[in-house]
Amino acid sequence: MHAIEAARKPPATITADRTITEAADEMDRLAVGALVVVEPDGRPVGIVTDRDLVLRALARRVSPDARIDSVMSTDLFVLSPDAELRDAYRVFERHAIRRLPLVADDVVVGMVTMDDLVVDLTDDLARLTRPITAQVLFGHRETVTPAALG
Amino acid sequence: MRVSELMHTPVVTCSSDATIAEVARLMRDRNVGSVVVVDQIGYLAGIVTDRDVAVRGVGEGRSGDLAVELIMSRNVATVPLHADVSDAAGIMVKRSVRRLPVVDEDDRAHGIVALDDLVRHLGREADAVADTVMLQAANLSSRP
Repeated sequence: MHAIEAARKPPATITADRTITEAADEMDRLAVGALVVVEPDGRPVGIVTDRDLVLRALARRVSPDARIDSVMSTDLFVLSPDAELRDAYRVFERHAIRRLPLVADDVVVGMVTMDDLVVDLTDDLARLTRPITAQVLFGHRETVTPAALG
Repeated sequence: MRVSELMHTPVVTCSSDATIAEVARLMRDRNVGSVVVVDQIGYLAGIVTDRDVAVRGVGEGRSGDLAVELIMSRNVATVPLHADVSDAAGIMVKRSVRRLPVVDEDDRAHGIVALDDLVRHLGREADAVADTVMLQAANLSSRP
């Protein structure tokens, strides 16, 4: 499966010159926990989460009118939308992050989150348990062997 | 497995007149995503998450001096101390929350259990099952 297929949320971005207040309002409006911070030409330069607004802005008394790029994370990890979902697992594991923007030609096209992977995994697990449940409930069906057909 | 075996202790609490800037520092210093708001005698009055603080406390026209009781969630979804992990999952689904204070009969919070803890628990269980399957496969192939 490709990373873009697992991305359940549309890409949410904010330009670097907007304020912390505007970022909070945008997260609320879009019901997302993170925004990719982009240059006016759309090139991603960082990421900011709702938790960053609390720990980096509010806890340090940074003015809510300060630019959002003053509290963003600049060590941005991204993935190609065509990358395998397995690659996303690896990045999450290695860097202890929960969100991974999907970027093609310097444009953000989606976001894969840890939640997406958990949902995907449990869907697979549920599908896998169905035949087992059927066997437990109804027993194992005997197939007709060549010998039985005579 | 009981939720009490998975929960995080001790619970990080604040009083209802704490400011959201104070709560933000608590979240940073104690490395938690939610703070339980308690009244003077320690009873559960509300809960506030980092997201609540961000969207209700940082948005337009808000300031860090805001009292936490103005943005906290009241009518808190909780799970009893002796409840099972699957009960906690059911309550999270029903109430659409990711974190539950684990409470005793007097509604005092003893810990917090988060959706992440349930996912981790599920992962460990699945891992144990996978190990069993691998072991049986190895035993079968080594039979004479």
